Amino acid sequence: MISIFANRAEALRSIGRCRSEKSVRLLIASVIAFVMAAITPPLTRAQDAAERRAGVTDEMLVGAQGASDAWLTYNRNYEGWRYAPMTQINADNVDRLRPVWVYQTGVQGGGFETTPIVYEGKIYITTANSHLMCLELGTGKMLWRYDHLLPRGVNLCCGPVNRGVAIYRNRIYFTTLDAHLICFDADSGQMLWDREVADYRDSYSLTLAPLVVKGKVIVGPGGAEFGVRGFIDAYDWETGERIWRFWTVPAPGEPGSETWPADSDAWKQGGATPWLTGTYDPDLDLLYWPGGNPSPDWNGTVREGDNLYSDTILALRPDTGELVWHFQNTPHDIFDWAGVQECILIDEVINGKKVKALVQANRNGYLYALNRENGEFLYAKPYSDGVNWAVLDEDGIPRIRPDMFEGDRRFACPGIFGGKNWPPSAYSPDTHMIYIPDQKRCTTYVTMDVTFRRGLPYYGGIPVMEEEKNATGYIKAYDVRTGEQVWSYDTKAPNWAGLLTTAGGLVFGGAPDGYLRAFDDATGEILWEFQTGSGVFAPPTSFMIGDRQYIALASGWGQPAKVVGFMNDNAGSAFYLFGIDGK
Amino acid sequence: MVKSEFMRSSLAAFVIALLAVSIQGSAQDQGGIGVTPGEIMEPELIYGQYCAACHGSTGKGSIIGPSLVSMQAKALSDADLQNAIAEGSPEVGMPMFGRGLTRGELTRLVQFVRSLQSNARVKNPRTDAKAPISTDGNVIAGELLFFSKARCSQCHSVFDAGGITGPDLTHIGSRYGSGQIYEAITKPDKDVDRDFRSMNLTTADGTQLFARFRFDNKNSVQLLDKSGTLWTTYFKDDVQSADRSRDSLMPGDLLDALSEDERKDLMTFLTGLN
Repeated sequence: MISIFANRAEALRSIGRCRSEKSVRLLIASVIAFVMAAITPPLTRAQDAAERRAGVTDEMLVGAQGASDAWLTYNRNYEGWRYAPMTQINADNVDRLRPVWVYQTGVQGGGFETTPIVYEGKIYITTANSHLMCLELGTGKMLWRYDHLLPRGVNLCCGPVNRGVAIYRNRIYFTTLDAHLICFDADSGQMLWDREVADYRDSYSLTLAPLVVKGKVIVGPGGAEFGVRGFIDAYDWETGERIWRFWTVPAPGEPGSETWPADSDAWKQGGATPWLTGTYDPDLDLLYWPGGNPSPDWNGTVREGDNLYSDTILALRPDTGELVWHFQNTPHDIFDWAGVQECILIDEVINGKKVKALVQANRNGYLYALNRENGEFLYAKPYSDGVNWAVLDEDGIPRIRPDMFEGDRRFACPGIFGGKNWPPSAYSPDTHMIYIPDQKRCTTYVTMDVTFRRGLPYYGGIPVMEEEKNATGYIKAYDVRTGEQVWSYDTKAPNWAGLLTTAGGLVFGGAPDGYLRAFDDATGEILWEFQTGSGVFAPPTSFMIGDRQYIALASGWGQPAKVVGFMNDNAGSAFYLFGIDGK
Repeated sequence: MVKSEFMRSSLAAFVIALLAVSIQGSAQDQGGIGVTPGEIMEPELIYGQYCAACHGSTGKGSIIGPSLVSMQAKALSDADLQNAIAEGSPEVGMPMFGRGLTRGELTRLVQFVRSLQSNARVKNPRTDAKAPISTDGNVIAGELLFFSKARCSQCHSVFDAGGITGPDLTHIGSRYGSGQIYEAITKPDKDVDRDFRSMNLTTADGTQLFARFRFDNKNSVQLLDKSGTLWTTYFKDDVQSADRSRDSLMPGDLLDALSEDERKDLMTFLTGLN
């Protein structure tokens, strides 16, 4: 690389001189050297590394659940469980958990939402404002970092956050707020390619951890608050070439387009951005990736119809992006209930029958169970307190109460942030429970006229949060077989913190008050707590280093919830590793 | 010679071509928002659809966006206000509106925000009279007093230097007359800005606090701690009583510690902050 720069500098200087034949010769030689350097693959070192070891393979990702010494994909396994199958940390010793090391990223401004990827002695974390760091797992020492240079005017609805990277072979995949997908060598941090997924000047952004399925790096953008058109993209892991794109708002004439007005451009600004990481069933070869809220958020009059595939669970073929089935949770949403929450894939007895199920704690306040082979509806149970917007249709499916569409004011619970937002839920096969981070807050939606202008907010209303004094949050445990609540814990403020379950009989979760807590997974009893110093968004993770089990957590309050009154809202961004007795 | 002549002319042609491309590019960017005269929006409409969702329909703010009618916002110059709207700030979730609104729309939007500020109800408006102290003192001495003997900077800041217990005074002179500033110093309780309210709180162990209050809900209340730098949360379980106060946290006798010349210097400094 150094020689390239030397030649390039020489070449630039030569262009400036260009006086004599000698310098012309030098110029030609330099240009040849420069071109040679440019066409020679600059990846030699990375390729050497790739030959040394295969890195993370498809087989490893399919079996990620069993890899106790790693955390290989966003939700730990493709099925979205966030269940660590280790028992070393358990109810008997969890009160001895102490920090082993703390890494201060120094980045502020956005919530610290990262799920780390752990592989072969390294841990990869991301922070607000598009920074990526690779640390030595045992010590917390920084090995390399990438600080993305963001352009001016990156428009975001909900904080300059990032939720983590993906790993595949020996490569790390990272998304940025200006909607780029960037690939790095996992060892050296060398950038291998950088793809613009969408134009940030339309107010597209990327905040999610990519999902890699069979060599395809899959991402979806945010931006529905600005009237963009959503899509799910798959990129080749090696070259960065785009393999397919599934538009989450169909164009006129395509299936689903009948759910949009025929005589307008509403579909072009239809939103439905699928901004959170999906899940995958390797046996059925189906990718489950929901579309987000339609645009404009709160004024549905410019988009009459059900507005597919907004707030819709999509089952796609990962090789082609072909749609196999879909289920829309909130047709014609007028509440901004982006239903992008992870679909947890489990085989459980539901309604008396063992079924390949999908459960999702949707932002609209209902816990859904579907048959994931065909999208058949199994149940929907309200998990968020005071859910008031729905009537059940003849199949028991919640539908928006007709009077909600009358007038220009409507009072709905949950409110604009939903019950469960992005913070991941977790499932334990031991208890058959799903654990849900929940917010209890309601909103009065005032509808307003709206004009689309590229890149600007496209809300169509005002959310009036007059009930904020009664707002709170919970960790709630639901038996997935019945959809009934087993226990709940009041976090005393709207809860934005993701969860982890373990085979040690524990549920780990942070809270806005800055504590990380361990709960008995069956009863909700608090067994351990630790004050991390700032409110928590991120989900905890767990893995082995050598023969010892550890818990990791990112702690740091900020946008989207850095507003007054959320308890421990002093900003922070510290990454913790906890071990028994701090060892 | 011929060769280098050729080189030079082709280099010149190349440079001209480059310039042409960049000029064309910037012309396109300027028209990039693609607004025709018929599409120019009235400021009320702009405010309603782009600003009100976070800042509220009357500008009082919400849990998402700050108040636009606070003393802080009033203290911003037109240029600063317009710049804040045009540039946005991703770290607090404010979009960049300069890319989608025309200059004219931005200017008129600023005036609309000013009208919201004038309409915002003030219980006890401050005097229109001039201060009984002249403002032709020594501005440098006044600034030194602000940060020392007059104790202003313990609670107020100017260009980010100072405390956060009271409003930022960086542009105070551009929004308030000398009489209003003088009255604010001598009668602080007359009009306390909504964002700088106080609370009397007694903790379970009997400790009494009178401090800047930010928020309470059914579980907790937040006050600025003694150092004036950190927000501290008190859970309702740990509190005997928590009463909002109409009183300003600012003592009304601060000028008593200053000589006549010093008062003049301080007023000269404050009225000149614009």
